[in-house]
Amino acid sequence: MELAAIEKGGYEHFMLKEIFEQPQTIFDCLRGRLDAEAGTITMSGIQQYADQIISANRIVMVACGTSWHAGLIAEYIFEELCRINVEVEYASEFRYRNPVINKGDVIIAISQSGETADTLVAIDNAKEKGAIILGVVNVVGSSIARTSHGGAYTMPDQKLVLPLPKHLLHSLQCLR
Amino acid sequence: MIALKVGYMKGTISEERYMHLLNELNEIPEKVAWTLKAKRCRKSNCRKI
Repeated sequence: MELAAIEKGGYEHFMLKEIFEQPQTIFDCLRGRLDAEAGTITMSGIQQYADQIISANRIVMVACGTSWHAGLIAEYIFEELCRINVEVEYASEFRYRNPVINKGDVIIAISQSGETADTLVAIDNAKEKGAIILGVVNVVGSSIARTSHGGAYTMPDQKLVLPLPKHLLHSLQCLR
Repeated sequence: MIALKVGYMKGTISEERYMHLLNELNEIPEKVAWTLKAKRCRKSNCRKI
């Protein structure tokens, strides 16, 4: 980690610095995945479960806080582009009830740290019921990343905890 | 990116729309930078007033 990453870099507040760093970090998120000239999107963590996602009757997004808000926006995008029924659930609600999960349902767990306890338990329960679990997390090797069948990292170069605006944008970039 | 990829593979979006959205996605960093710059200019102008 570079020293500049943990300093304010001339900005009045850390939050201001994070906001103004967004163009670069979104670029980093897309780099190596999106090739506009060739017209390709390369996401190896998704590719191997592409057939299951395409044939899924339902996608359930499970998350908490800002990640949940990213899920609410992604719901519109998924339904518009993929024509698949999407539900967005708060992980703390999802884990304490007995949700209907059918084999072949796709669960997308969104978490910045990849360690959100409610989200982790929720995907464990769904996994037992035969759902395909995809994780959209930032931290490589985190609990959710390890529990999921596949997924995408939002910005694996970043080692610090991401504040709200950055995480929201990164999650959306991956999901969109 | 996931939705766009899945939508294209599933055939629910045309190639033309896929390419258009891909280019739009690619331009987001530039557009965010432009928005932040514009907002900063407005803020400094407001302070002057």
